[in-house]
Amino acid sequence: MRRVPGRALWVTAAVLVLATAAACGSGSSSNNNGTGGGGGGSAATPVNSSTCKSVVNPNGQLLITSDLPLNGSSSHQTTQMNQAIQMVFENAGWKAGKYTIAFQPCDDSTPQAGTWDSTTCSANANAYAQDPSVVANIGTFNSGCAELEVPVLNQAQPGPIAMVSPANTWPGLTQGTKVAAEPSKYYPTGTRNYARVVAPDNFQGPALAQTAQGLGVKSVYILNDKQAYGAGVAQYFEDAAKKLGIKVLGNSAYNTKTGTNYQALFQGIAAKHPDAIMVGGLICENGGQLIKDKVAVLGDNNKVKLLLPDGFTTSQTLTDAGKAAEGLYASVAGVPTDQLTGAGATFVSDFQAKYNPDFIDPYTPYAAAAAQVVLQAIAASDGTRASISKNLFGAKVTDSVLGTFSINDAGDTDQGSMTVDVAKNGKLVTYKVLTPSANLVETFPDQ
Amino acid sequence: MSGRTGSVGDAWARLPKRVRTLALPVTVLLLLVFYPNYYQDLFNALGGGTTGQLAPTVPTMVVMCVYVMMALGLNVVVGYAGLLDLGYVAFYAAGAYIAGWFATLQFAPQKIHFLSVGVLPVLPGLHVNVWLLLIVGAVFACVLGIVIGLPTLRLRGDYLAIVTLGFGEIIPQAVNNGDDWFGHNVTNGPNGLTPIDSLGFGVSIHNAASFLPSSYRLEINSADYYYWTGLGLVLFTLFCCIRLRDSRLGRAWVAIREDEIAAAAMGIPLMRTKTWAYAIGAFFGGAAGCFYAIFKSSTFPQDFSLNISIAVLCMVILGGMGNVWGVCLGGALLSYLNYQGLEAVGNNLNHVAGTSFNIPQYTFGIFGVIIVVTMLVRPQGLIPTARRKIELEAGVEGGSLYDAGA
Amino acid sequence: MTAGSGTARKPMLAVLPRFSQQINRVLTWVVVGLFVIWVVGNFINAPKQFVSVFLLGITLGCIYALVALGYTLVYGIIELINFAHGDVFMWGSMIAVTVSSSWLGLNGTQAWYVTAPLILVTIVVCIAFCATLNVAIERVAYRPLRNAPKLAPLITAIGMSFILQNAAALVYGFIEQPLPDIFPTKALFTIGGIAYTQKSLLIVLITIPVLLALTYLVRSTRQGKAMRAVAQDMDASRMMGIDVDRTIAFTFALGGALAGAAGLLFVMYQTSTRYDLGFQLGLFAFTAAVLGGIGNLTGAALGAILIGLIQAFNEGLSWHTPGSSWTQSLIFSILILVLVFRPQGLLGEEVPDRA
Repeated sequence: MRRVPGRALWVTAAVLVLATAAACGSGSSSNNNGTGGGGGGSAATPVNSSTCKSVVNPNGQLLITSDLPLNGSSSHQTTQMNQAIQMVFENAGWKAGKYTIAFQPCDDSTPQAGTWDSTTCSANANAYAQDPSVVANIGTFNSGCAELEVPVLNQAQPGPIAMVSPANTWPGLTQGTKVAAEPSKYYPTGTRNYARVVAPDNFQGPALAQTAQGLGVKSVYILNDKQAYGAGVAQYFEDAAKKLGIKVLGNSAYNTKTGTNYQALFQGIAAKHPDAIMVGGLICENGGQLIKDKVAVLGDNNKVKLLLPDGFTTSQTLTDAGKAAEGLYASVAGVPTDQLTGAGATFVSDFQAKYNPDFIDPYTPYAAAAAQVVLQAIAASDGTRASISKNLFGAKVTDSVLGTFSINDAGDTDQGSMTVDVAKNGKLVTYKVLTPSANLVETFPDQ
Repeated sequence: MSGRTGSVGDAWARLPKRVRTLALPVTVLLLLVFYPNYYQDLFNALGGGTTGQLAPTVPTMVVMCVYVMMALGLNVVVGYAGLLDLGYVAFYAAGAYIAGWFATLQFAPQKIHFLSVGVLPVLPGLHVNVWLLLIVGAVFACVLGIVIGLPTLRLRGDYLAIVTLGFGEIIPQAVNNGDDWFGHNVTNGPNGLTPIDSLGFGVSIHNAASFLPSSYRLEINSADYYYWTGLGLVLFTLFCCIRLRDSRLGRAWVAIREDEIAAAAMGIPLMRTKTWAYAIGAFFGGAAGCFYAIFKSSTFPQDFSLNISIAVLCMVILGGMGNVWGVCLGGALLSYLNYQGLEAVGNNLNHVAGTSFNIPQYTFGIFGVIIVVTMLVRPQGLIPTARRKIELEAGVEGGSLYDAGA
Repeated sequence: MTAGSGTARKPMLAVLPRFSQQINRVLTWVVVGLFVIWVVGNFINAPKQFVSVFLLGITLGCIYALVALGYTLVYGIIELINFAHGDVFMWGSMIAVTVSSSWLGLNGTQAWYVTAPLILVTIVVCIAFCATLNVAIERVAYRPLRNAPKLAPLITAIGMSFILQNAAALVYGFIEQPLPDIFPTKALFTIGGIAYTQKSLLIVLITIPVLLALTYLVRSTRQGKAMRAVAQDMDASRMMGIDVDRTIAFTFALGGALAGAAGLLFVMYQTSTRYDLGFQLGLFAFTAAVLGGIGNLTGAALGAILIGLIQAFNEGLSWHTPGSSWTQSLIFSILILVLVFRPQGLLGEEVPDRA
């Protein structure tokens, strides 16, 4: 390769500086081609990102996006969630108050990873922020992704974009935790723009702990996958179990790589003689093997109980663990789809009739409820981003898919019901529905 | 007709040599610099919708800049000095965590602001000027490179590869367990560090020159600014790589790559020269990691898998080990494919064929095919260096490279 | 910044090799001493638990040993770290699931005299498939590069590893492949409430004769002699009339066969597998090969048992163990320490050009 002369490089550098300056100057003007969000009657500009699908009802003025991982192990859940959102919008006639709306589903996962990807989340959030017609985002599925998106949407110009999650369970997104500067670090502008319709992990942990107490468990050993979700729910379980007088024998991490054998791990645990094992993790992280090895070493799930959070509450758990799954307890936020009443029951039967899924995923009604919250906030607003964000909070949602609930000033729902399922004859059946008692739900002051 | 082309050719030939040499690079550069300005037109020109997805979006271009930078850094280690490094992602992590520590609220309630830009003065945590952090991140990675390099660089090629692979696996796990290093929460473990301060020039510079934003994230076209910054970093890396290649140190690296014993006999200090290669490669990896973390406003332990190391290696090999232009091309091409291209191509194919085959799921399989095919068919890469070409062709002498006499 | 600024070497660097040779010996003994103290301490702390974890470690070690032998055989003959070997092992486990469960319909309910011959059939299919696969990989990806710079085949090996993984994902999907318990799971005896199952013993009982047969093959047969000759000097052995390509292909076939057998044993023991199985397990097995002294068969087996034990001790015992979340770091630290301080491994001979 020919050597580029030194002086030539300086010339290049000079050209670059000039060109950058010119580009910056023109950049700001060329990007103002969007239609200002509010009152204008023109159609929404689609979000420009390869992860976003095409716009549904493209003639709507205000664009609502959804941000869910459409690849990998959660894809069957997220596909239903998008269908549910679309169904709610269709039933509303693609109208929220005096505004017409459009809907664009986006994907925050990469097929290679099979799960959410931080680069994609960040790029998506920036794409929404840059599209003036986006006024609200329904998502995300994973709390880690929300931690990235909320601050970006919070700082969006000309106003914060409202975000409503049907599935984020990390408490720190809306309230104080043991982590420094939560939740304020997600809201750099100081105003809130994020709400959720699902109860956070400081409800799920206690619900499992209460289940354990009801089963007569005196001592428990906790395993966690050392990931944001798993370690979080394990910690909340530990704290609640201690309050209930259950002896916690330990809380340690397990290796999630395929091919790991957990028998040594469980032999170490067996020496401590626990009545129950609680696992904070996900089925797709070698969870099936973990359950099998638990049963192989400690005995079946009636002898030593097995308590699992909603990362395991799918049919995949039963497939992967086979016979070893029998008798495990798995929790999921909210009430089971077959126990919804009123608008919820109508939704479930309509959804079944329209899309005919094998079974309706527990998160599907939550996606519908999130869409209803967004619709209500838009209807009450003046059509600007800031006003829509403001109207998320303190809102009372009546006759929603999940019944009547309200969103408090932090963005949390006042519904805290949890369902605990049990695996019986190769099927997950409802064991009980409970709301954890208030003294077990751990809260920390906002920081 | 021929006369006309002849006259154009003559006019071209009459131009000063410098102009002719610079014509191509300057054109490419201008096309790159103005990319955000004509991206929308390119998108429309490709037909918008599904086919328009083939045009890389500006955020994809930022990611491409990051990967090109890393590929150039790894090229110093693998291409110049011939040391196979399978744990390059460790340096990338080092840079990212420097940004994570010194530009977030991780160490709240401590509150130290040092020349920070675009950050509310009341915000707790450490907030060092992000431009400074790019340098600190690079230097930190550089030091890490020396620390890893000193004990391991005595090893022979394939053993070195394994040791670096080991480091590449240990560091993410250590970072993931870093919320409890002897009771201290250092890295915030799997929750990662987020949000990270944005790049920017601060209010006073913005007031003096309004085209320089006070904080990128507050701009509606923030990705454009990140892109121009990334492009600047790539050009800086490219400049350094070219100068290094032609320096005394660069020639020493090549000598070691060709024949270690002969190089040592000629008085080249092996350890020091190799360590320099490691340190400089790490430097650019660290800067890239730091910039990427700032762009994504986050850093998580799971961002640092072996796959990244392999992908970057793949870029270097495909482009042509040792050739900076080839490596730039390889890096841009593969990172485009990884982040957007394969998905876009897949969507288009599915759109045309009416299928729903998920091509990008198999990205690394495709990368594997690229590695193997490149090594077998064109081991010198897309744009080979003259020297590498000779080396590889010399291997054919005796007719045993392609036909082992079966 | 230029390297040539001091053509005279700094004295530190010149002294370093001799200096490090002396501290190497000391350090090795210190590390071995600490390891022994750790093991004995754990034994005193919880003897029953120690024994059951020890037995588990042996079982794991036996599976690692079969994989590690594949690495060591190939490295011994062409000095290539065959990164794709772990994935050949993964394919072995996949084929075992397909053949035993889908084709032959084994589900653990059949009587032993039905199961045993069918497992034998599965083993034969697995071994044949993996041997063929490994030979094909050698023919396509490594043979053309035999005279190229040394890093070239190493890089193609990494590429092949990704190809094999994604091919498995394409065929079997990205989800786990479960297999019912086919090996007998009855407890032979219990220690401290933990059962030692028949299948654990079976793994050990199958591995040992395989190891002995392999050692015999390499040490005492004509083919083994050819392998050792090729390993020592390829050109000289060609002149002596040894078919080098055939010998190398035979070595790959042997390594593949071992990986196939290991894949079957692994999946019968673990009862599930997935497309990315080969990666971590392959690296652990490779560490074992390096620990024992790469190129040395007995060393690989010994190293594998040690790695299996260390992993089991770390996860199952409680006296000064870092715990499950550090297993990978622990094993890779061993790998790095061995390579830096004792590149010849525990049983390998000192080879000057490795250090």
